[in-house]
Amino acid sequence: MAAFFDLYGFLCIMILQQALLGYSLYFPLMAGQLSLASIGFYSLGGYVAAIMGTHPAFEAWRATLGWLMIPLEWLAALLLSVVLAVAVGLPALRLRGIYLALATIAFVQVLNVVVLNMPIAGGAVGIFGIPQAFESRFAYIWFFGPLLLLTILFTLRLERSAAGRNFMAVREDELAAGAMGVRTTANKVLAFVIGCALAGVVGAMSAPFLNTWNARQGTFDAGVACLAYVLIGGSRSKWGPLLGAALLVALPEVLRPLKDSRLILNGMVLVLACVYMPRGIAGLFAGRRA
Amino acid sequence: MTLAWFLQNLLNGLSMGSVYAIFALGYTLVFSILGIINFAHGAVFTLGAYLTYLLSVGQFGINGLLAGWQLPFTLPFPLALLAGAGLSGLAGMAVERLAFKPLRARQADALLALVSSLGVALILVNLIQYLFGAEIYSYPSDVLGSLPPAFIFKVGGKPVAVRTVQIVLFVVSLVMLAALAWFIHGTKAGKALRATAENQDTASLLGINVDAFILGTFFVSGLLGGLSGTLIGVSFGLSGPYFGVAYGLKALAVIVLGGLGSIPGAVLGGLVIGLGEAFLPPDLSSYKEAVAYALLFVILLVRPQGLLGGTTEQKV
Amino acid sequence: MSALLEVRSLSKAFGGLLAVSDVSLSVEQGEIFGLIGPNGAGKTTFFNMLTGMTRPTSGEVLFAGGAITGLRPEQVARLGVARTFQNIRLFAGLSVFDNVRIPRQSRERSGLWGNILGSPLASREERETSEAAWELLKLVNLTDRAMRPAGSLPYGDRRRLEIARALALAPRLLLLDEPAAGMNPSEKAGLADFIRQVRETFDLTVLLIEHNVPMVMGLCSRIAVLNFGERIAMGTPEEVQCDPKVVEAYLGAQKRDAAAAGEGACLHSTM
Repeated sequence: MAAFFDLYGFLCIMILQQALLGYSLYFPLMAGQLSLASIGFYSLGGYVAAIMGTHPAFEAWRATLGWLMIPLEWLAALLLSVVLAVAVGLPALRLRGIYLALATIAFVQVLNVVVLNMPIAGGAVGIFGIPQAFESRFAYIWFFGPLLLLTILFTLRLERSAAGRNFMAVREDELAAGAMGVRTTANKVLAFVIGCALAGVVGAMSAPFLNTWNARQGTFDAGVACLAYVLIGGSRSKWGPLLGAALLVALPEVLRPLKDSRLILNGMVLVLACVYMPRGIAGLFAGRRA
Repeated sequence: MTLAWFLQNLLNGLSMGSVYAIFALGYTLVFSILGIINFAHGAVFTLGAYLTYLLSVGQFGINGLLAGWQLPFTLPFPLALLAGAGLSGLAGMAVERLAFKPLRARQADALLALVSSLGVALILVNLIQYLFGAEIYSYPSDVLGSLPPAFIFKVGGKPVAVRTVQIVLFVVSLVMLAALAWFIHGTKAGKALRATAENQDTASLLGINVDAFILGTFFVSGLLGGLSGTLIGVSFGLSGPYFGVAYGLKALAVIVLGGLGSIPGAVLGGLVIGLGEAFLPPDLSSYKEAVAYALLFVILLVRPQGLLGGTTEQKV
Repeated sequence: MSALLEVRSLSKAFGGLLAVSDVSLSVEQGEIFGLIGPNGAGKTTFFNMLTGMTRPTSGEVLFAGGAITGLRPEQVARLGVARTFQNIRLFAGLSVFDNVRIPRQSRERSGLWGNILGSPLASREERETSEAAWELLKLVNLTDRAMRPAGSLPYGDRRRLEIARALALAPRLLLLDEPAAGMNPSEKAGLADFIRQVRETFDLTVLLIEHNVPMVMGLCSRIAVLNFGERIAMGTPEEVQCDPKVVEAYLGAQKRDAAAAGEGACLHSTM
């Protein structure tokens, strides 16, 4: 068992962390909104934690608060994400379908350039030497594990409540939802903000985990990977993001013996999964049960 | 603000803007027929740049599976440009067959086409890396033959410099635009293409081979992508297999800015972003990469259908 | 009786085309009011303006005495105006039961966290919503298929479910957009009875668009006729039926000439 964790511990944590980012896109998708903004909020949350963890201005805070500084970083990332998500979401969510996705891509690109130009964020090099919260990498399961559990519980409850049904009504038919008294804009913004807030907290947890933080955390490719977890896992299932992340994060490891050609195979898996599992991995199980 | 300064920026902006325009048109053509965005377009851009480089220089050297391997022949740059673009067109067709056709046949969720086209992009980009390595390559300075590297003239006593490459960018893009306009509006095939874009079912009832036209559209789209990749590559060098990603995203901003699916819109959007970047004040130059997206974000909020897009009002 | 809905010179132009032109009418509390007219007469555009889905170019809509012009669809719905759609717009992927629960829950006061944590208020509201929705499913005989996706129901059931969904808003005014489209004569008769019954049970006012003249003639107390966006007639079924302009709009100039010759052509009122 110990040997297993030595070998695959890091991978396990990565799966949990990436699955959480998948869930951050699952909520907007539940309300029919295709967003790629999560990765920007993830990056932002990481910067918040990195700055609070390393910048001299917070030295006194760190000395006074000790380990309490870490939950405070999460809280700061959460609040900043919520405020920014509302500010971005209110205008952007008037857009439908692919327009919203493109607007969120644009938002992430602008955010990256702005961050690169902020001296406090360390420019292209980023911030490093972020204090570790635990001795071993695997211990970060105490961060990501409970958060993932809470997220899944949240999703379970949401799906069976009036709030979740409002989201799904907007997804099924926005116009009819409005005619049936559903506050369409408020629900779209709410679903978007939940996702962004989650991504911000995951970023804040990831900064100490990864030890360094820079603009490469928020690339377009990484953002699309999050979407791929949801779609490959199954966008209509609460298990989809977890299944998708497990497959797509583990795959490059499994393919490691193939060295340089493994990313080519990774691409092929994406294509084949789209063609042969249009409802995702979760769809395979649902299909068998039916 | 002198006249020379203005002219210099205008020329820089027009030259980049025209390349953005033809690259963005590759997205527009596919979008107008299938209503989806081909996220592999950026990878075809990269592929075009690498293929033309290989055909005109003859080797990549340092790393990758093909390290040290030498092409038995080399082509003069104009021919290599055409051949590279043509091969990119074929790659565009392969993208359609791999990423889009199987999903269309299954009437799958349009979102999946986004992921499958990204999958194909991943395959292409990593194939390039696998074969040629991740190094930066620049064209030799004599790639344009005996032409001087730049023309300098004076306006009001101040010099204005036009790199020969910029002229090539501009002229090739204009020729492509003219050819495309003629193809779409002046030929029978173009008419059928427009009919297919209007309504696929009606088009197939009229006896148009829709499948063949989709494939043809991807060829033209890939050709435009490869060509613009080569032009950018000649101008700024090939900065690794991923260098198309950033341009691919920027071209997305171009098409949304102009209006999704609108061909004049893509041209206008390209020029607006090219000029916007060129005229950015020097002290904001580190924000150059954000110009396109900031413009896009603003335009989406003010005019969601883009500068030249039609109405987006939904039918009840 | 007082006017529940009052429409004052409502117009909508799409580009240069006037889809609805200067239409005024008022619907009294408790009546079943019919809006008829040939295809493309502007009936659905008119409905869309009443429900906030299309912004009128000019004119005013008053509901229960207050202006609702320019409100968003959900605001209009929450004031008590429910509608169905010509081409049925159910939440096809959701269950029949959820389709009816969604409009009902628009009156709930518990928020996201109450829902997630299961606060007493949220639990009570969830129970009330489910009970009310179940009663409506009983009314339309769909309880046995309550958990199936709405999109899997046969056509006639989807029409009835859409009406039940609209009723779940507990509206004062029900707008029905061609509820009988695609039904055979016996189904149409059943639907007319159902609409009467629903109006009695829920103390409703009904405004319905119908293409099918006989059904409207038998069901409605008053009728307005639209043609090319203009209101060309309004009155009781008997008055409207033999109005030369209405006859012309429906049957063309030929019949009008015959009518002028003496025998007085009318639209048939039998189904």
